[in-house]
Amino acid sequence: MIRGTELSDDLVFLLRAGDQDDNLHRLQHQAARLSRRYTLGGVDCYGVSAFAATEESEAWVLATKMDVRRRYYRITSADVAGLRLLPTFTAPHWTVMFSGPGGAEYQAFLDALGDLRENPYWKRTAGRRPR
Amino acid sequence: MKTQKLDDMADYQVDLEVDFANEDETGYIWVFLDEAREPERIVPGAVLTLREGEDLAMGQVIDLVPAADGTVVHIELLPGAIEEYQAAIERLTARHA
Repeated sequence: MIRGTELSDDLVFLLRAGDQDDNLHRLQHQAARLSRRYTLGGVDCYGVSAFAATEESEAWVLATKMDVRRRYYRITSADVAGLRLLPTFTAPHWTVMFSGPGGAEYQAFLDALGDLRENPYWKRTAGRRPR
Repeated sequence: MKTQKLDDMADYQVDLEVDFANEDETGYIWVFLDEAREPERIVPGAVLTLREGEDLAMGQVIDLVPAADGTVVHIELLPGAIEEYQAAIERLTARHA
């Protein structure tokens, strides 16, 4: 589940958008879904998915992995200090880990997301691919 | 037949609420079968409407895999925007009329 020894320091993380009223609830639901299926080191594994990118690969990730999202958040590991970021499954997939099913860290995570950005590659339409 | 426009996404009840980034070791996105609005429709090859928050997409069921606490559904996102599927069907039905 976890890939090698990739470091998060030089990466940006491109995340789920959403400014709906149920955002906190949805985040916790998604984290609980991961826990329902996986454990990490024998303990429950709460987390949500993100895609990591370098400065060079960011457009590619937005166009190939995020093109279904019209808007997104872009953070660094420093923005969510205190939360574990793990390289999971197949790159560029990462998981933002939470310590349990609830608690203040979920709202802190949402507060750290900053401003929503428009995805210039939204929709899988010819002409929206990065060169 | 004229299908309704998809202008107000929030009013639509899709087949599956997903996390579009929620990939596992297969590279496909996944949910549990019991999260589906109509689980009996979730079979390999089924084409579904998907949503996460404000975003809609079309997806196709790849397989259903037993897991420790339920059945996992793997889904492949289909290309194109959902509105493009609707527009294609509207063209089809308009020519038929």
